[in-house]
Amino acid sequence: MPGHRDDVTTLLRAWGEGDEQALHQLMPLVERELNRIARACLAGEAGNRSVSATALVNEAFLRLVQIERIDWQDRAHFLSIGARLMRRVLVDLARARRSEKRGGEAVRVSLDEAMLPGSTRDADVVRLDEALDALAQVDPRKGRVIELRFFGGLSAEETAAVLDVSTKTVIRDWTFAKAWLQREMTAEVRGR
Amino acid sequence: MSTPDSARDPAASPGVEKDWGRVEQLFHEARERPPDQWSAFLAQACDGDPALQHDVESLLAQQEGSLLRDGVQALARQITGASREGTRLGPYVLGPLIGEGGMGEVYRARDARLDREVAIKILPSDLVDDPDRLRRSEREARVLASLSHPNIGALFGLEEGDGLTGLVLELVPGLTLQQHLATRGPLTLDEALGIARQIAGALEAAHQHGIVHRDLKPANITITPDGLVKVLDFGLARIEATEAADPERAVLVTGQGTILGTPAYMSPEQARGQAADRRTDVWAFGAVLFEMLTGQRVFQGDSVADTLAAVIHSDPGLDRLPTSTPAHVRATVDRCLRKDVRDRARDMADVRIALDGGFAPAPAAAEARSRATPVRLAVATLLVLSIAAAAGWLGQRDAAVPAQPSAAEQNRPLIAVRPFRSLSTDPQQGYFAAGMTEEIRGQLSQVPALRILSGTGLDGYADDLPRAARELGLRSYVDGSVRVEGSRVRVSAELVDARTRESLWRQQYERELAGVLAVQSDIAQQIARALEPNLPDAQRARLAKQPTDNLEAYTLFLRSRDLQNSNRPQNLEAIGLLKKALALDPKFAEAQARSAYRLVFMGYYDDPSWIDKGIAEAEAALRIDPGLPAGYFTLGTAYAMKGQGARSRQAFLRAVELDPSGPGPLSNFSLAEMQYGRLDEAIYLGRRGFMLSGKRGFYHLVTPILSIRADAESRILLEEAERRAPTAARVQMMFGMLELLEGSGDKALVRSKSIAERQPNNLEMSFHRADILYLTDHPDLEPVLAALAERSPTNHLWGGESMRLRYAYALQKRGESARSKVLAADAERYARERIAAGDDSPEQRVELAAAAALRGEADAALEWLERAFEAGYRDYGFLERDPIFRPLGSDARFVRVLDRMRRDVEAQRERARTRGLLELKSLIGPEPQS
Repeated sequence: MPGHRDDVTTLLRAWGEGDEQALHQLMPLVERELNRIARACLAGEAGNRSVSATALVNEAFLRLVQIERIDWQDRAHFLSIGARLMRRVLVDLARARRSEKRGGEAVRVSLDEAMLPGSTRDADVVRLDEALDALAQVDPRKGRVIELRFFGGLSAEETAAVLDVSTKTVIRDWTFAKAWLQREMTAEVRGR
Repeated sequence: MSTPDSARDPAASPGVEKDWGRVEQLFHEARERPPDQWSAFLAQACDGDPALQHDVESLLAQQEGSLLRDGVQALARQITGASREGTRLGPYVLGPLIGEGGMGEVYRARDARLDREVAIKILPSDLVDDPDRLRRSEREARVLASLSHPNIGALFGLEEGDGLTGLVLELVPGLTLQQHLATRGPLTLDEALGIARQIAGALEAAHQHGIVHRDLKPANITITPDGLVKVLDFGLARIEATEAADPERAVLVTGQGTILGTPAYMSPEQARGQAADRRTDVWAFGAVLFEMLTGQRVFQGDSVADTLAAVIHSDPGLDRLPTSTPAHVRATVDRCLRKDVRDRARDMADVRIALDGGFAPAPAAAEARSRATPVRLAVATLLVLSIAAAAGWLGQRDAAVPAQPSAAEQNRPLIAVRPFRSLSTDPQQGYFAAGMTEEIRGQLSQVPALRILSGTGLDGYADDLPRAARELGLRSYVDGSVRVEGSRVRVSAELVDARTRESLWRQQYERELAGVLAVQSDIAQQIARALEPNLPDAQRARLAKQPTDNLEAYTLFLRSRDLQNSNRPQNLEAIGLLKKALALDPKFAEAQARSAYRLVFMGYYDDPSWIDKGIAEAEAALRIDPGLPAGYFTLGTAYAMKGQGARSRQAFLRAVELDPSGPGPLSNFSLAEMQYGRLDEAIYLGRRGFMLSGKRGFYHLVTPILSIRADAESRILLEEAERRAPTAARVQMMFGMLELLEGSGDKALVRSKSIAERQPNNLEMSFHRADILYLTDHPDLEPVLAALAERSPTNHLWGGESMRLRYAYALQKRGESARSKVLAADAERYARERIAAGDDSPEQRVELAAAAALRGEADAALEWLERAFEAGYRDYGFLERDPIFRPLGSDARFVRVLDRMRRDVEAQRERARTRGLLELKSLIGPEPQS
C-alpha cells in the first residue's frame, strides 16, 4: 500500500524534526502493524523462530516505511515507539489470555529459583505493566529505560542515545529500576 | 513521614518522592561493598531512619526474577503459548519445556535419527552474542563433557540452531531431591546416607578432574525411579556466569566480584565473593546432608542479605538434627559446615571417611566410585525414558551415526515391491496393477521397522534379484498380479526371500471389483506382519485403513498418477481428475494431498499464488487424516518455495517421520536443507534417499556434496553416475557446476551447451546453461537470459540472484541503462514483497544485495550479503565469480563475508566427514581409480 507507506515515512520525518503532533498520528498506524506482526509471529508459529522484540519492530519498520527516504537516526526514534507499542501489544495479549482462564486472579510471584509454572506469566506481565506505570510516575526516565530496553530490546548505548543521557546513567537506572520493579511485583496485592 | 508500607506503594505516599534520590544513591553505594557489610553501612548512613534503611535493604535483596532477566522473548512466548518446541538444534528437535532453572529454559529434546532423548538447556543470548564468553563457555563445556560417572548427569555437548545455542545434557528421569523433601519432609537415616554417598562419589570424581560444582543444592540432585542419584549442572555456574565486569547482570554483583550460586547453600567464602574451590562443594554437601536429615535448610533468612549474613555469621544449629542421628554423621555435617575453610573437611575423601564412621578403613577411591548403590524412595516418580551416555563431542560429534546403515538400521529389512503384473484382457485396466503396487509400497513405506526400495530401485537389476540382494542388501520382495474381468478382480501376491527365493507368504484373492481396495490393504497388512511380527497397534491400524471406499474415485486417482507434475497441461489434467475423485468422496485424503502437491508444483514454474492454494488443500487433507505423510510433504515443499524455512523444516520432519522410506520427502527435504545452508543435513538425507532408490538417485546425493565443496568426492560420484547413465541431464549439470567451481569455466561452458542442445525441451538445462554463461560473464549471456527472464520471476537453482536481475546486469553492461534500471527495480520490489510476506530464505537477501550492487551501493549490498549469510547462504564459490558483485571484489567486507561462508562450509565438511557422510564405499562400491 504505497499511500500508507508515504504517510508513515512523512510522519516519521516530521516527528524527527520536532513535530509532536506527528507522533500522535503515527502511533495508531504503527501499532496496528506491530500488533498484526506480533500476533502472527508469536501466536501462530510453534516457536520456530526465536522471537526478538527488535526483530519484530524492525520488520514493522521495513514494511511500513520507504527505506530510501529514512535516515538512520529516525530508526532509533522508531524503535522507541516500537518499544512502547510492543509493551502495549504484549500486555493486551496477556490480559486477554488471563481473562480467558479460570480464576485469573493476580498470583504472588515466587522468588524461588525452582520451576515457575507458565500460567503465572500472564499475571506477571500485567503486574510488570502496572509496576512500570507506578515507576514512571515517580521517575519517568527510569520508566523509559525499562521500556526501551526490556520491551524494545535496545542496547544500553541505543537507549542512551534516545534519552540523551550517558550510557553509564542508563546502566545505573536499569539496575535500580529492575530491583524496584522486582520488589513491586512481589509485594502483597492490596486491593487491586 | 514515610512508612515501610508506603515504600511499596509510592503512589500512596508523597513522602517517598523526597527520599527517592536518596534511596537510589544509597542503593548504588551499598552495592560497592560486599553484602555482609550492607547492614552496617546502611545503619550508619541512614542514621536514625530505619524506614529508609529497610527500604534500601529490601531493594538490595531483590534477586532478578526470570521475567526481567529473560526479556521479552520468553515473555512473548509464554503469553501466547508459543513455545520453542519444534526448533532444531543440530540433530536434535526440541520438545516440551521441562524446567526453568536459574539461568535458562530446559527442554526435552530428541535426536530423531538415534531415537534418543536428551535435555537441552538454552543459553542466555547475552552469553551467546559475546564471542569471548561463548568461547570460554565452550572450553568449560569441553572439560565438563569429559566427566563420566554414574552419579553425574552427563554433558554431551553444545548445539546451535535457529538463533539459539544450547547445552545438550543427559535427560534424567525422576524427581529432584528438593521435590522429595518438599513433599515428604526429612528422609530416613538410611535413605539420606545412601544418597549422600552417591553425591560424594560424584563430587569426588569431578574433583579429580579438577571440576568444582559451585552450586550444589537439592534442586540439582535428581533421583531416578531406580534409585540412582544424579548430580546435575556440574560447573555450569561457570559456563553461564556473568563476569565481574558486567554490573548490570546479577543483582548481587558487588565491587568485589560476582557472587554466584544460591544463597542458602553458599559457603561463607562464596558469600564474600571469593573464588570457589573443592571446599565450597564440601560445604554445600554438608548443607544438603543436613537438609535431608532435618527437612530444613541449615541457613535461611527472610531476605538474601539475611541469608548470606546467616551463612557468614550464624551457628548452623546442629541440634536440629534428629536425636537418632549417629555421632559420626553429626560430626561429618559439622566438619563440612566449618566457616573457616582451614577447619573444614579438606576434600570429599575426608568426608567419606567421616561418613563411614571415621574408624573403618577408608575404602579405595575406585571402589567408592563404583558403589553407586541405588536407594529406593517411596514417592511416586515421573515416568520418562532414560538414555545411554554418548560419545564425547567436539570433533567426535555423532560419531555414533555412521553413514552406512548402523546395526539398528541394518536390522530393518530392505524390501522391494515389484510392479504387479496386469493380467487383464482389457489393457485399460492396467492401471489397477500399477496402482496396487504404488499403494502397497506407499503403505509399507510408513512402517518404521521396514525400509522400502523406491519404485525404480530395482531398475538396474532386471530379474537378477540375487545380485540386488548382494549389492543393495535387499532382504525380500513382493511379487503380484492383478486380473480384472468384468466386475470381478483376481489378485495374487507373494512375499519372497531375495536371497533364497523362498516363498515367505502367498495369497490369492477373488472379489467384486469394488472390494479391490480392501484387498490392497489386506496385502499390505499381511506382508507387514510377515516381516515384522511385533507391529505396534497404531501401525497396524494405519495399514488397515483404506484410502477410500469409492471405487470410482479410486480409479480416477489411479489415472491421475500417470500424469507428470512437471508437464503443465498434464498436471492440470491430473488436478481435474483428482477434483472429480474428491467430489465422489470428500474424505479421500490422499487424493486431496496429491492435488495439493500438484497445485504447489504449478507455482514452481508458474504463478506463485498456486502455492498458497496448495497449502490450503494440504491442510484440508491433514484435517481429514492428520497422519498423512503426503500432506506434510506437500506443506514442506510449499513452504520451502515460499521461503518459510522453519515451517518447511517442521513439515518435512514430520513427513519423514511418518514415511521413513518415502523418496519424495527425503529428496525435497534435502534440497530445502541445502537452501538454508544446512549442508551436512542435506547430505545425510541425500544418502538415505540414495540407498532407498537402489543407489540410483545421484542428483539428491551429489548436489549437497558439491555444495559442501567436497570436490574430490563429488567428482568420483559423478564419474560413476556418468558411467551408469551417460546421457542423464542432471549428471551433466552437476558436472558442469563442479568444473566451474574448480576453475575450469571453459569446460563447463562446453558441457552445458552440449546438454542444452541435446535436450532443448528441458527447461532445467536451459537454466543451467544460463547459470554457466552468467558466472563466466560470457558474451552470449544476453540473448539467453532475455528468453529466460520472461519465464521465471523467481530465483532459480543454486539460489543466486534471479534471472531477471542478471538480465538487468547484461543490459547495463551493454549500455541499456534505462531498461536495466526498470528491470532491476521490478526484481527488487518483488524480493522486498517476498520478505515482507515472511520469506526468510537466503535467496531474497542475495537478490537485494545484487540489486544494490547493480546500483553501485556497496554498503547496502554488503549489508544484505551478511543477512544472506545469516539466513544460510553458503555458495561462496558462485558469489566470488558473480559479475554483479565484481566491483566489490577488493572491499574488505566482501572478502570477510566470503570468508565466513567458506569457513562455515569447511566446518560443516569436517563434521560431515567425521560423521561418515562423505564415505563413498557403501554408496558405489570400492573407489575406482580416479
